[in-house]
Amino acid sequence: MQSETGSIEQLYRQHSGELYSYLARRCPDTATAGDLLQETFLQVVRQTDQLPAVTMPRAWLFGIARHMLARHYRRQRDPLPVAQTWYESAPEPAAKNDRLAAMREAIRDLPAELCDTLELRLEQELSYEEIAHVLDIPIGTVRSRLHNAVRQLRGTMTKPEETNS
Amino acid sequence: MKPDILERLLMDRALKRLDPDTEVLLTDYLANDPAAATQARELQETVQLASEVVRRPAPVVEMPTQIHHLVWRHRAEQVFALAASFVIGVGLTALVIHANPRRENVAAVNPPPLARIQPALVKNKIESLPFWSNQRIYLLASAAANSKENAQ
Repeated sequence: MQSETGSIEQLYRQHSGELYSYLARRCPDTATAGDLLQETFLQVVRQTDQLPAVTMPRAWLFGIARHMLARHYRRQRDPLPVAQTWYESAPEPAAKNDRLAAMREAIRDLPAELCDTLELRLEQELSYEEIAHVLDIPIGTVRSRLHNAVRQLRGTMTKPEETNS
Repeated sequence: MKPDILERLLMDRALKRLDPDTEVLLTDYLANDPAAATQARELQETVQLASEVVRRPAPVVEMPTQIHHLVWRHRAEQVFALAASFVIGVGLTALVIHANPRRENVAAVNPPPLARIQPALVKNKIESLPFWSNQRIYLLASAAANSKENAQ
């Protein structure tokens, strides 16, 4: 039991920050994000017997956190949000960089599933395999979603230049 | 190289998920193909810019550093579930026992045979009942047993 608690503590130390960041961007307030983080690790404690079989701990934790998030929004009868709420409430870039603002707009306009996949890759730097595990989809779908997202972003970002020129 | 394959490789390269050997080969290819090199640069810039946007710091709060309370919460839940199961089990058992008293107890509360109490009344009753009725047969049997006891 002590070793199990130790491994859970280690997981908490290593990943609670990034999990909290992931949850906080998708929650209306920090208190909810904190609660969901606690729920996530409570679920980890409940599934302690599965720990030895977990090959991708980060992906496993993100999967649980995402499940908790989905359950939270299901109870409120709202769809699972991507980080769009956070994009809207986040302060403007310090340098008022037009390109950053345009990119923020472009990401916000992406379909939810593309945005979610892109964020897991760019924000959390999860591998394709890990993203597939978190979202419970095939790796091929992860790759095609990421490619579509980048293609759309590139298209949006190059449009103004073309119209200006 | 086919444009769709090239694009796929450039995408994976921009997303930093291209294996090193393929990346070396692709870099060599791009050195000889300026149009593909431009496409690669644009994709890389797009991903770089998107990364800057999504990696902006989230609000920070102080998080508890101890996990023990979660372990204790889980144990408390388990104990509570066990206690609840025990209470429900005991309750159900008591209900079943209450609803189905033992056979000997039922026999104990049964009245003695009617024939033993008032033979004359029983005789009248027997005559008034239909010939093959269960009640008549029961009363006859009781009366017979009673007279046997009396004879002894």
